[in-house]
Parts: sequence; structure tokens; C-alpha cells
Amino acid sequence: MLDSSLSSLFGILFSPHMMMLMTLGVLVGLFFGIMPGLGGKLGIIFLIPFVFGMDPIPGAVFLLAMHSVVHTSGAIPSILFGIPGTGPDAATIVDGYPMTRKGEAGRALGATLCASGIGGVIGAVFLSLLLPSVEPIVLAFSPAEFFLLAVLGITFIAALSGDSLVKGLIVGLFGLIIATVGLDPVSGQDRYTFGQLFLWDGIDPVTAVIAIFAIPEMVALALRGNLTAGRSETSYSMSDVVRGCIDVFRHWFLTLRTSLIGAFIGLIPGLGGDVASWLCYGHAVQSSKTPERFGKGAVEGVIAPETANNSKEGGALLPTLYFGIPGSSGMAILLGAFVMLGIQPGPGFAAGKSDVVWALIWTLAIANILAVLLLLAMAPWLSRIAGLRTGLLIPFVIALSLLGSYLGAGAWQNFMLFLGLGALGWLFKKYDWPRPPFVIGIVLGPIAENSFHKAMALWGPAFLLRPLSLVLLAIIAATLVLYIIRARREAVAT
Amino acid sequence: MKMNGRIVTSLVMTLVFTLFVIQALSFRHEAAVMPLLVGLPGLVLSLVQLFIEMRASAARADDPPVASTREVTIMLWITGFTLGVIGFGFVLGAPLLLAAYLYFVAAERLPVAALGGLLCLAVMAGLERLLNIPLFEGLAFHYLF
Repeated sequence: MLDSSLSSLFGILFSPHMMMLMTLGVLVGLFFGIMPGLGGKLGIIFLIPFVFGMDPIPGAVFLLAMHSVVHTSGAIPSILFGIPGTGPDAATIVDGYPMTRKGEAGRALGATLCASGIGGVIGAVFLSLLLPSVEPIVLAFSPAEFFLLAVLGITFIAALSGDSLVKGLIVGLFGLIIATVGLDPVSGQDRYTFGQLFLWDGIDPVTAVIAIFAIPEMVALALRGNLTAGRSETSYSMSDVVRGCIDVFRHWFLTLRTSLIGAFIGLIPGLGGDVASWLCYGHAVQSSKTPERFGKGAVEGVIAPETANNSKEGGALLPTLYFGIPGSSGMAILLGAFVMLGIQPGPGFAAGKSDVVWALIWTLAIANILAVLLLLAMAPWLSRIAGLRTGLLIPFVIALSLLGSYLGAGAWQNFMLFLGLGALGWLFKKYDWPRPPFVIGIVLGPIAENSFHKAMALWGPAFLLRPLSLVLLAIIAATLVLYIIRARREAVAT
Repeated sequence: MKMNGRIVTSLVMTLVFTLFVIQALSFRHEAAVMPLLVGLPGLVLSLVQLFIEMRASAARADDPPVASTREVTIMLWITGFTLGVIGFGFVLGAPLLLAAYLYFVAAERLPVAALGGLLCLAVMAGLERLLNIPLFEGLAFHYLF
């Protein structure tokens, strides 16, 4: 294991090609994070055309480097303008923006950059420490468990990613049924193809995921306009930024705790960055001897959510790669891109794909350090982002989304699917239907169907009575029951 | 009861699952198992959600329209852009439509719009020529030349 780890590290560090790709990925990630309304999901969509034809490891390193640093820069507009760059960065506003108003913008920026970097590295360490224990578990899973794991993934995400379990389940089932389009893997019969040859291989998941996410986000961005326009610039010195960095080490135990909490939350599919950052913010308040300072510019209120935001990516990578269950919607799109690169998630990772896993772990760590160094170098000019216009990006993202869709499947007919699913995604976004369950459904659909048929052939319906199957069924039932209890409590409270 | 966006969304999902289930009934047994296993619960849940939305709509006095004018404009532009790419491909269609969006919809100045179009052209041509990635040339070119 050590050999594999070190050879991956040297393979990245001593390869100018890999380091260039990583630096480029980090720069794109920082750009997509710092621009309010863009975020990591659109960043991956933006990059998909450029990784087409790349070897799996360089392509995956490029995409993950971009994705893993989005929240590092996403906190900057939160602190300077009170506008979150990405959703999970909203928790940073609570104390980050008051710090700016108190004249401590530089200190808040320094704290957020160092906290994000350390969080990201701890997330990577967390992932590497879990590998030895997770590999035997994955290899012990049979088709029965993989089928139930797909059901569990959709249930989890449906219960946690929106305000309605019913809506979440419908969207998840929609993703699963869309995944049945094409030739049936058992009988070879064509399903829902309507005589169209391009549908024989099924609906391209990259096209579907891009459409469901990119079109609604672009419509929302066009409606919102330029959020940062017209706001005054904030001044700070480099010594303020350094002071913020020192704060992170002064609160080292909080940094460590919230990094680990964030990484653990990342492990649980569907919880995502919002939960990680708010939970860690709450933990910082609860564990403080002076909780009354929070909300008025306490530096711990910046450190806690930022460490969690970045460390959760390490945790989220584990279910994504080993079980094919993305830990977050961003990971789901990343998973789609990995599949396009020829990296098939699932138990195969536990049997002979350690070079890919270690390359990704090192990418998480190195990209986070690189992002902090780059942003520290750019610190004096960060307040100038107020002048950037996000609206200009809309047509570029749409053009590159279409390009990504075309390169993924090579059929122009997919553009019609792109429009149809995009319109549906827009309805989902507008009327609060969670979209991550769709991604889980379409990505896990083929695995679920194959596993179901294999399990039925091996054990018949009794596959549901296998010990591990019973454990998974119990978790599914507990997820549903807990959701219902929580919903009833909330209904009583309101 | 007034039709609103929430009801429309639930109705769309109900129709989608209905169509998938009806079609699945004509498949051979092995091919129909998964679509029915997924489609039937999906249909039931969609009907439940439709019922919830219709009941909630009766209690709400002022539901917003399904889409605002601005939303319709953006969606129409995205549709036009996609159809433009289908017609004229990535190298010609995408830069022209991108510049048109910047000028007409985003109300940018002509030099900015032209620069955007040129940048898009550079990306598309760069992908095609430098990286040898085959891009869709458009149906117009396909049928005319």
C-alpha cells in the first residue's frame, strides 16, 4: 500500500504534465468558486469537453483538483460582500462578513484560506486511513447488497437533500427509470428507444446530468444578475491575512475537530456541504467558552465551516469510488465525468485500482495546498472581484455544456434530450424538487438492474433475507422512519 | 382550483411515469421487471404529490405564474442556441449565437459581444484543430455539402 501511495505521489509531483493539469484545475476551481452562482458542479460541466480523450488518471486529477478547491475561494465573496460563492459557504457569512464590517477582512480571509487548506489535507488523510478497512467490506458485497445499496443511496439522498421525501423519491425513481432506456441487459429487447438508434446504448448520463443542472443554474444566474455589482471595495493588508492564518493554528483543536466532523459527514451520501458547514459552525458555537461573540465577527465562526467544507470532499470520495454512490451532487457529476474517462466506480476499486485511488487522494491534498498558496499570493487583489460580471459566462457555459454532451455520446440527437431534461430540471429547481436523487438514479441505474437480475438468478426473492441485505433494509427503513418523525416534529413545532 | 407551476411539475412527472409504465407492459418479462419495479412506485408517489399540490393550491390565493417573461426569454434563447448548434455546428453556430446573446439579451456593447464570439471560436477551433477532437459540423453542412 505504501509503495502504491508513494509511486502515485511521485508520479504527480515529478510529472510537469500532471502538475500543470493540477494547477490549471485549481485555477479554474478557484474562479468557479469565487464567482457567486457558479460553483463546482458547473466547473466540472465546463471542463468535461477538455478532458475528452485524456488518459483516466490525468483527466481525473484535473477534474478533482478543480472540484476540491471550489469552496476555498467560495468563502471570499461570503466574507467580503456577504454573498456566498457556493451554497455551503453561506455559514461563513455569519461571522466572516461582520469581521469585514469591523475592518478585519484580511484576518477573516487569512483564516478562511488556511482553514480550507488544512481541512482539505485532513480530508485526504481521513480517506487514506479508511481505505484498509473499507476494501474488505466492498469485496464482501454480493449483487444483492449492491442492488440494495442503490436503493439506500436514493432513499438517503431523497430524505436529506430537499424538504420533501416524496419529491426526492420521485426524482430518484425518475433517474432510475431513465437509466432503463436502451437495450435490456438480459433479453436484449430495446426499451423506450422509439426506433432511435442513438438510444440503444441508453440515455447518456453525462448529457442528462449536465442538462438537469446546467440549464436551471444558467436561468437562475440570468435572473439574478451580477450580485456583487455596485458594492464598495474593502481594503486590508497582507499582515492582516497572515494574522488570520495564525488564528487557525491558535485554534488548532477546533480546526482538527471540525475537519474530522466534515470528513465524516462527507462519507454519508446526501448530507453534503451545507450540513457539514452548518453543523461545524454550530459545534464551534457550542464548544466555545464565549458563544456570545459568534455572529458578531468571531474568527472561530469562519474557521469551523471552512475546514468542514473542504474536508468533506475526502470523505465523499469514498462512497463515490467504492460503492458508486456519490456523497454529494457535485460528486455525482464528477462520477459521471469519471465514467466518461473510463473509470468505473464500484467494487473494482478494491481490486486493483489503487493507483487511481492514491492519485486522487494526493490530488485532494496537493490541490488544497496549491489553492491556498495561489490565493495568498493573490490576496491583495481579491476584493476586485466585485467588478466581475457573472452574466457574461452564461452563453459560454451553455456552449460548453452542449459540447460536453456531444463529446460524451457523439450523437447530436442528445441535444434534444438536453433541452427536454433541462426544462424539467428548471421546473425542479424552481419548485424545490431536489435534483441530486436524479443523478444517483441515473448513475446507479445500470448497476442496480444488473445486480437485481444476478441476485434473483442466484437466490430468487430470498436475496432480501441475506444477513447484509437485512442490515441494508433496516437502514433504509430507519432512514424513512426518522424522516417521518422529523417531519412530524417540525409540523407540530410550526 | 388554479393551475400553477407546482401542479404542472407534479403533472409532468405523473405523465412521464404513466407513459413509462404503459410502455413497459408491452415488454418481454425480463425486460419489463426493472421498469415496472421503478415505474409503479414512481407513478403512485407522483399521484400522491399531485394530490398534495392540488390541495395546497386550493388553500393558496395568489400563486405566481409558471414562468416569468425573463425566464421564458432565457429558455427560448437556450433553445435557439441548441437548435443553432444543431443546424450550423460548434465552430460556426456556437460563436455566432454566443455573440448574439451577449449583444441582444445581455445588452453588452458590440466589441464585448464580438470578443466573446471570437473567444468561443478560438476554443472550438482549438479543440478541433489542436486537440483533434471531432466536433459536430451541423445538419446544414451535412445535407448541403
